Amino acid sequence: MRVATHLGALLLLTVPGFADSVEDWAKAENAAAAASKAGRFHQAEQLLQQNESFARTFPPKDARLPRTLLDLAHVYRAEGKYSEALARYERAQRIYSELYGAQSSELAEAFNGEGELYKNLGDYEKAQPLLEKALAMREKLPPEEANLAQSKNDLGEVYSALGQYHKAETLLQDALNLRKSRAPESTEVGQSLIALGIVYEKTSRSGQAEDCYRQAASILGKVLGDDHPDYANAIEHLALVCVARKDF
Amino acid sequence: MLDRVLDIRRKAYGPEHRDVATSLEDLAGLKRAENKPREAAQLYEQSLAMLEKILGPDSPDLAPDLNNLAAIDELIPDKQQEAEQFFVRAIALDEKALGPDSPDLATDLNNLGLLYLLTKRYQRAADTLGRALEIRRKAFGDSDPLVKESLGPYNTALRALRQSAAK
Repeated sequence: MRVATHLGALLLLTVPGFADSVEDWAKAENAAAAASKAGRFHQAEQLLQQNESFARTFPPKDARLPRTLLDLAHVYRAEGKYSEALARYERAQRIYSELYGAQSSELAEAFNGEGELYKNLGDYEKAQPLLEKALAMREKLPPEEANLAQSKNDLGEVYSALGQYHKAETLLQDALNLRKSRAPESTEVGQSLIALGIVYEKTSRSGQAEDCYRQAASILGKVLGDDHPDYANAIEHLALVCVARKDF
Repeated sequence: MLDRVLDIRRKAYGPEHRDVATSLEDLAGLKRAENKPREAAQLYEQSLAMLEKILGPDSPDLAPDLNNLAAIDELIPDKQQEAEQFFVRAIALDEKALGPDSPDLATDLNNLGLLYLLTKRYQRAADTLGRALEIRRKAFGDSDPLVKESLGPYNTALRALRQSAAK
C-alpha cells in the first residue's frame, strides 16, 4: 500500500536525499496549511504560489507538484477564485492519474475538491458526478486514507439541493455518525447537522430540524466562538425554523 | 436571534455583503409575519440596494427582493403601481438570465397576473397568468399544484372578460 502524502512532512520521511528542497517545500506547505486553517487565505495563497513555482523546477513524476496544485486549488476555492482553482484541480487530476492510476486518495481528493467548487457555485448537476466518483473511490480505499465523511457530507448536500431528499438523508446521517465518532464536537459535526436539518425541514419534519440546528448552534458556538459567521448560519436556520413552526 | 446573526455578519464581513443582505431579508420576513409591512418593506429595500451594488443591476438574484417588495405594496391601494413596476423588473431579470421556460419566471408572471386581477385589468391578467400556466404545465405536468395555482385565477380572469363583453 502506498503511503498517503497529505503533508509535506510525510514526504520528507519517504523521500530522503532531497533534504534541502524537500525541507523548504515542506515548510512552506505546512505554513500554508496552518494559515489556511486559521482563515488567513491570502497568506496561504502567497506561500503556495511560491511553492508552485518551486515545484515546477522538480524532476517530472515528482509528487510534490500535484500536492501543491491541490492545496493551492483548495485555497483559491475558499477565496472564491474559482477559475484559478478549477485549472489546478484539473491539472492535479491529470498528474495523479499518470502517477498512481485510476484510484488513489489524492485523485479522490482532487475530484471531491472540484465537486465542492461546483457545489459552492450552485452548479449541482456538475458537482454530482464528481462527488460520486470521489465517494466511490474513497469507499474502496482503506478507511484511514479516505475522508469518507467529507465525501458523504458533500454529496448529501448536493442531493438535498437537487431535491433528492431520501438519498441525501442517508448520506448525511452516515457522515454525521462518522464525524461524531471521530470528535463529538467539531465544526464538521456542526456542518453535517445543519445539512441534515435542511433535509428534515424540506421533508416536513420541522421538529427534528429544530433539534439539529439547536445542536449545531451549540457546538459551533463552543468550537468557533459566538462571533463566527458559521455560528451565525446555525442560529439563522434555528430562528427561521422556529418562526415557521409558530406560523403553521 | 436574527438581529444577532446580522450583527455577527456585519462584524465579520463589513456592512455590505451578500450574507448581510440575507440577514436583512430574514428580518424583513419576520416583520411581515408580525404584520408590520412598512418596516418589512424598508428592510427589503436595503437588501435590494445592497445586492444591486454587489451583483449589478441585471442579476436574477435581485428578483426575490423585488417580488417581496411588490407583494407588500400590492396590498396598499396607492402603491399598486409601484408593485407592478417591481414585478415587471423581476420578470425582465429572470427572463434574461434563466430563459423563457424557467419556473422562476412563471412565479414572477403569476404574481404580476394576480396583481392585474386584483386591480381588475382582466385582459392583462389573462395574458400574464396564461403565460405562467403554460410554463408550469410544460415544466411540471398538468396535475401539479403550481399549475392549479395559476389555473384558478386564469379562469377567473377569463370569466370576468366574458362577463364584461356580454354587457
